Amino acid sequence: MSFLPTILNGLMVGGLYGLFGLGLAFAFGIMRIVNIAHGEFIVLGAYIGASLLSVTHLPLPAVIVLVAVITFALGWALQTVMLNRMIGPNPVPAMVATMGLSIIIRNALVEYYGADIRAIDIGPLQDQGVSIFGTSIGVLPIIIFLIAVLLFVLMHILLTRTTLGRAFRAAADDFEILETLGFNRKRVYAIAMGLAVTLSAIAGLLLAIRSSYSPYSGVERLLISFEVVIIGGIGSLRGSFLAGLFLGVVQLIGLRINPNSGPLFGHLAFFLILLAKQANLPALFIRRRA
Amino acid sequence: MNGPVFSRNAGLIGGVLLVGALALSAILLPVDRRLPMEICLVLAMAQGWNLLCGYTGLLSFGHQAFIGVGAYTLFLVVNTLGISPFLGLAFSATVSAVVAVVIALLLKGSRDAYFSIGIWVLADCLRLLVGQWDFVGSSQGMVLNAPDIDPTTFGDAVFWAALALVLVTQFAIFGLLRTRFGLGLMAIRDNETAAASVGIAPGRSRIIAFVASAVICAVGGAIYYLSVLYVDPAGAFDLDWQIRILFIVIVGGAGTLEGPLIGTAIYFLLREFLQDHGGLFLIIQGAIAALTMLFAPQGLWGLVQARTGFQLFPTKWVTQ
Amino acid sequence: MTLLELEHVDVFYRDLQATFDVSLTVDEGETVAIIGANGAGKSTLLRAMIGLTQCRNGRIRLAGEDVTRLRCDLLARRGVALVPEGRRLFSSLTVEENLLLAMARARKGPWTLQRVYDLFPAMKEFRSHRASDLSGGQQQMVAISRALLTNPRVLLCDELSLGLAPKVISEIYACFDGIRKEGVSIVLVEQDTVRARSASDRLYCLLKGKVRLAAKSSTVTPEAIREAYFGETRT
Repeated sequence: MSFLPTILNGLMVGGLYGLFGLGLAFAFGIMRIVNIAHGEFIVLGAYIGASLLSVTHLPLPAVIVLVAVITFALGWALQTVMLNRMIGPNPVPAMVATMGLSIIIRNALVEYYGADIRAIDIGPLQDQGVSIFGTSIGVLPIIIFLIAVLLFVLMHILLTRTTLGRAFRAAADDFEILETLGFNRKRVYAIAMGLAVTLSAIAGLLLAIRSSYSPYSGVERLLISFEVVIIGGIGSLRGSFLAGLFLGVVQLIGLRINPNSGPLFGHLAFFLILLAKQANLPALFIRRRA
Repeated sequence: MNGPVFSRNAGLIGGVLLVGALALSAILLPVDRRLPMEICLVLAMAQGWNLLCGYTGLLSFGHQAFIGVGAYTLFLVVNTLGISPFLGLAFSATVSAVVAVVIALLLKGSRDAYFSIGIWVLADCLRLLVGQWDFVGSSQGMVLNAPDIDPTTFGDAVFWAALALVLVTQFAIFGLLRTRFGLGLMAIRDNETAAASVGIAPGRSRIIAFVASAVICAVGGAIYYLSVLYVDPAGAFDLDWQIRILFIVIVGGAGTLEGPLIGTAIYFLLREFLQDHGGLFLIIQGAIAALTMLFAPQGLWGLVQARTGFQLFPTKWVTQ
Repeated sequence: MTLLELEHVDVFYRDLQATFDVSLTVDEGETVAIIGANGAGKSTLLRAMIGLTQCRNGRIRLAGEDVTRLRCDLLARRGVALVPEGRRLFSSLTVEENLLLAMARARKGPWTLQRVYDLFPAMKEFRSHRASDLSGGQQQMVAISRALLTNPRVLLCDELSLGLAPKVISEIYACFDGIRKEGVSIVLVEQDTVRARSASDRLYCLLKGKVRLAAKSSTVTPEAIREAYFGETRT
């Protein structure tokens, strides 16, 4: 029995995990805000996408764009209405407030959609497969993986080639000086949170297409995002991407060994790396910048 | 004398009020003592968690781990050794203390958000591992096997245990905060660098507070699941325990002994009031937590204190 | 004509009052030095001028307009720029990215990328280096260029000479003639009184947050500066 298909599948899921982590790291790196509702936004992306698909019958790419617009607005609003008032050296208020928000979103989803586990059906594409290295791989996971890679590339271009991207990186370095150059700090933050939520919500929608989701999936998704951030480091696109792939592979191999283990193997791998970091051993994907 | 002294009277009043209220509720409420028992347990856990969060600034999202460990330890020792459940509580305390020390070592280098979510991941690991462990019934859970329990007095006995836990917790922490160690803790909370420079070891104080909070939650969890005679991983390691505790401490006011009392009152009033609307109750709970952070980050008691300077349990130096 | 005007300004650093009833003016095209010992309130005053710290009492006017309560980014867009103490470049950005960022929200004016490279020709050589890899003097060039590229009407310079070798300081100050030619007003905060005096038209000396001396740089005596600086009369 070959592990090759499992590994390939893990890589494909891992691209999405990388996006989860990127969204969380983005908000944390720029604003020092840990968004505990991150997982709920990931799940929310799936519910909004599923509702749009079933109500409007638009093609999937159009739905993805719509979800991006809606979730960007949500992230923007979250930062503007709530989190911009909690910027400061103490991270606790923002964490507790977003924890409260996560409870609201989670239970609102239960109230409105019910607590059952769902899957998104997008038709015949779901069953098609191609043969790679002698094993059959679904076309859909490949497309989803490519979308994830594309989003990483777009983020790279944004961060290095545009004023907005430079402003994000500058805000992480020294927000006061960014203000003295005429940038409205709170607006930069609002756009950053909007983008962070959008990235995660799109990834959440894509994950929902290839697996299942429920209102209670948010916690697990948040913990995965966090593990990606710790393994891959903050402020490194490459780190997030590789850490996502790593966790995806570990998790799917774990599920193959023990189908009831859930995210257990991912958690354990994470702790091994955390311990390695504490012992100052060279961690897997960390590349520290001088 | 002009030296700083504690206003002892207020502490006495606070103590008398608390004991009076609890005794009254125990005597008057009766027949069904499940709710008063739960109130006592949740208040004790909140005070324990508050010792950690409010006084050392470590925001834990994973104390459900200790509730689960406490409950499972109790069920394991009672079922295998056949000892009295109330003796089993000692085992719960011991095992949870050991687990807490191990976790503290694991998360030694993690601060702020890293600690908060790191311990959350650990709690999730424990939930998943216990759910895989056939000896304790895996995800089905296990039933307490104690034939010598007298059903007529058992409910009362559990209630008295819960009452004892909350009283011991409340006054032990009150006493603790007025010792050198407690003053050190508060100094660390207010300014870690300054505290370290006058010879208070932040690391050690944090670990002591962490282990103490873990033991309190573990014993609380053990008593709770003892009262229902059944435990399963999804319940005992449920994030909802943590959310409940967090809500109570944060809304009431972290870093004060009065805050959790107020938070507990609000929590149970809200819950009883919205009994038939479980989802709505949770949504309102989340909204209150978020709004508190927006408009009163010090919690409700923090607001009162800022206005009046009054302390029911004075732990701060006041100048006479 | 008066460009920047402070009237009876009290600024606080956290809970400590840093300046007391400070009034000063900067005319268009003028270079004004603010000198004083460590902790005299110079930097805090500068922060108030660009809106990074709100002043508790008093008024600040820019070209006649009351800007006392204006946010920092809006003040910047009205033509106030800061060369901060310790340079504070965006360390994860390259030199050129630092400069491009300054141009993004700039006013219309004479300063372009080409012009600042002409001002500091050496900068062209390390334009693609990460800002954190530069020497102190190189960083100071980038910090000044970054502020200039916003095309300010008034340029606030905080301790330009801090931590730099005397030769480098001379080079930095030498470029100021080129900057002044464009008609920009300059506020120099300095501990080095000799340097500040020779580079400025007028100077203010702060002592413990209060203006102790306001004088023309060309006519003020070193004794008067010393007295205002240390707050005592030498006998």
